[in-house]
Amino acid sequence: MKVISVGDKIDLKLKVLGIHSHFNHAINIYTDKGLVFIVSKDVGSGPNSIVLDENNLNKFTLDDISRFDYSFYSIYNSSFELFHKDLEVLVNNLKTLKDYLFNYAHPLSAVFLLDSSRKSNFVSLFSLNLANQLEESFNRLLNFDLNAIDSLKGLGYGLTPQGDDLIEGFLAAIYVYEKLLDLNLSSLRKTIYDKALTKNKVANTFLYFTSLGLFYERFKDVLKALFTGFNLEESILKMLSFGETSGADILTGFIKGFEKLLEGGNELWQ
Amino acid sequence: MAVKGILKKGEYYDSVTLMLVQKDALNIPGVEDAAIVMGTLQNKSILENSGMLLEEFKNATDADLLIAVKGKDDEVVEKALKEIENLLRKSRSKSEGSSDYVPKSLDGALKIMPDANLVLISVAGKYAGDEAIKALSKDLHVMIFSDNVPKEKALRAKQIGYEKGLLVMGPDCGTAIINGAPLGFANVVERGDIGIVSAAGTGLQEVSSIISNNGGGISQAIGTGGIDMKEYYGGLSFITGLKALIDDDETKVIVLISKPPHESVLKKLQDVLKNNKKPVVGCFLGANKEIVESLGAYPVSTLEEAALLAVSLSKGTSFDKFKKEIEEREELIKNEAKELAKHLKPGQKYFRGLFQGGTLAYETELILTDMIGDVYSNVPLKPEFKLKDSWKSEKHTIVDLGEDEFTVGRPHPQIDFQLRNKRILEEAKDPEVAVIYLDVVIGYGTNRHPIEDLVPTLEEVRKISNALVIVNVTGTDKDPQNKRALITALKNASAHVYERNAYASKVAGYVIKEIGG
Repeated sequence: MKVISVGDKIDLKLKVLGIHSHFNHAINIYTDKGLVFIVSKDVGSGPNSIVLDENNLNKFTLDDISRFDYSFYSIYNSSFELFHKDLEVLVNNLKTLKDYLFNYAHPLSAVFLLDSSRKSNFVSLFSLNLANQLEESFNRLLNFDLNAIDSLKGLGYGLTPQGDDLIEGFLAAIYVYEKLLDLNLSSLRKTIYDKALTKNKVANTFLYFTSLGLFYERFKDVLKALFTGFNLEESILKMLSFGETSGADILTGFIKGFEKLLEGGNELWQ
Repeated sequence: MAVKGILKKGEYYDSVTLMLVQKDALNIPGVEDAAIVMGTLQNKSILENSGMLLEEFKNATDADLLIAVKGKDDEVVEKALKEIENLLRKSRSKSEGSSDYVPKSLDGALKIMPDANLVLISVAGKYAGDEAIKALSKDLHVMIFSDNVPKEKALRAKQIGYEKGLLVMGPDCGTAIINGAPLGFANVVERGDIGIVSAAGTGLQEVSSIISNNGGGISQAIGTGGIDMKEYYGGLSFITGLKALIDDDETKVIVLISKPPHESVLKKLQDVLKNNKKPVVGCFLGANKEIVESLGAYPVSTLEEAALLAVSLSKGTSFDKFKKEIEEREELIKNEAKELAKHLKPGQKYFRGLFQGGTLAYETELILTDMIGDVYSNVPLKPEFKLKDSWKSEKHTIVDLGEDEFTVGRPHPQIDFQLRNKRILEEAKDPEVAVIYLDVVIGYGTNRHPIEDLVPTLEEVRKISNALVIVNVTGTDKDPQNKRALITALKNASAHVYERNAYASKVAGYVIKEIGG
């Protein structure tokens, strides 16, 4: 199996301990250096991802790791620098991003936080309670009530629950906002990350890197496109494309967070 | 009422799988509520609020999957739990098998669509050439939307296409209509017997739209990207496209659109057209008519003429009749311009054209230079008339806002009107400006809301300036933006609206002549 990209935060001397979870396009591996994601090339790179020149990892076993072909690979740079500080461009592209979310995001994703009419998709008592809890907790977080994280983290379906994805998007919004305004809110990001930790190691890993301003390729491509306008549609659709709600949930967290920051400025967290 | 559940240790599913299975579970008769979630504290709290937190769930961890069902009795709930387990198992085997295969590569896509014969490539430029070559090796036509494709790779793709008789549209090909399917930026046009091969993107849109708006129809509209006519690429894609139209039984009339081709390309075109029996309209903007005639083609000087002549030929009317109509129309345009000029005040004398479409800007530049003399531009016809600063107009000015200097860090102006709107207001504040000229190119891929994004700016212009606002709308009534509503809204904002760039440009030119600008 040919390795085509290795994340910039991976130490290749890692020792493999076992498989955490196995999907068609991603195998999450326990190592002595933390979780490493082995992914097919269509998933794309990340700070802790090893990307294989494969489209399907169904038949992957741990033995395959010793047979990885590292003869040619690139190091993925997960950091993100702003292309410019023209807020108008960003706000305008955010409008497009919202349009795409409204048109293409899964009906049960957290996009109902941007468009309340989507809440009608939550029909059972359980899912409605869940949606209400997401809304209530995330709105509190948006107002920098960090205790809201306790009821938000781990909330929702799947391996990376929607609550965690919203927090991830919110962390990214803070990062972009501080870069735009030349602020340093790293301690705030760290506090949010610490409070958001659960026993879900996959969600923790995503939050960890995002809290440091390090991004997975799919999200980084959207951030880049928000500043440049290039490949905006393509990158958004790719973020939404993997049959999960995570992409839409992270982007919802990002949009809501960023809009709130613009609206409230530093009064919010001081 | 009964509530039962299952705890599955260490099982993971993606969120959509869980949501879909939950939705299916809710459709089982007798089931009132269902939840399939990871056993996080927070999810457990929601389960509790929903009356579904079972005793055995209380010690579940974040890594455990919880399945809970509430139903009218034990039997219903037991049955539902079994069904949920089945659905989860099926979802896993489905995603692991090939029956629900989602293609992530060309090979994968061909597996589920083996009859496909054209590949649209829109990946980062550095990879697009290889993808194109891969597709061509499988005998597939290619449209490369991407730009910044390495020259050598682009040329190699074009050579392979040429040798195999396969279309290689692009790199940087923004528009085409193949067998009625719009690709990239394209308009919803009528189908018919007129085939176009074009090395000019908005040129193709303008011509195909005018043809469609005037009773004609398009068999194929093949874009090649502007660089194709350069010496390095030798017009290989243009020639392949032309050959395809010559051989196409559905095409009765052929239209060629380009800036003047390199001499070597012209020679090749002459060879290809030597034995052609179909009427050909040659629209090489800015070229001498002798060049076009050397191809055995009917020469025209504007995109509009190309479209109208193609419609005439398609309907069997003569070239001479067409020429007569065009000449007679000139008087009409002059009179219209005379009327418009009456609204201007002394001191207003300059033309300012702010364009989304590069070909349209170029065409207007040619027309105006001929009518009122040289025009300053960021893409001037003569180097000495290059704007010192593209962000600032001088005398008569035409700005192509699709050039790189304006699009770095921003979407293309056909999508995002913001930058042009700012510039429109700047021009309106200049008391010497007599005409503000705009193009609005609609169709697939372009700004979906031109009314909302442009009209408020024109209303602002009205408040601060007496300048005439002339707008050319390129597109058809079937385009998704609702062209009629757009034209009405523009007119309500006091704009003078036309549907042919050459016509509108001539109106503007005569206005400037009339006021002695």
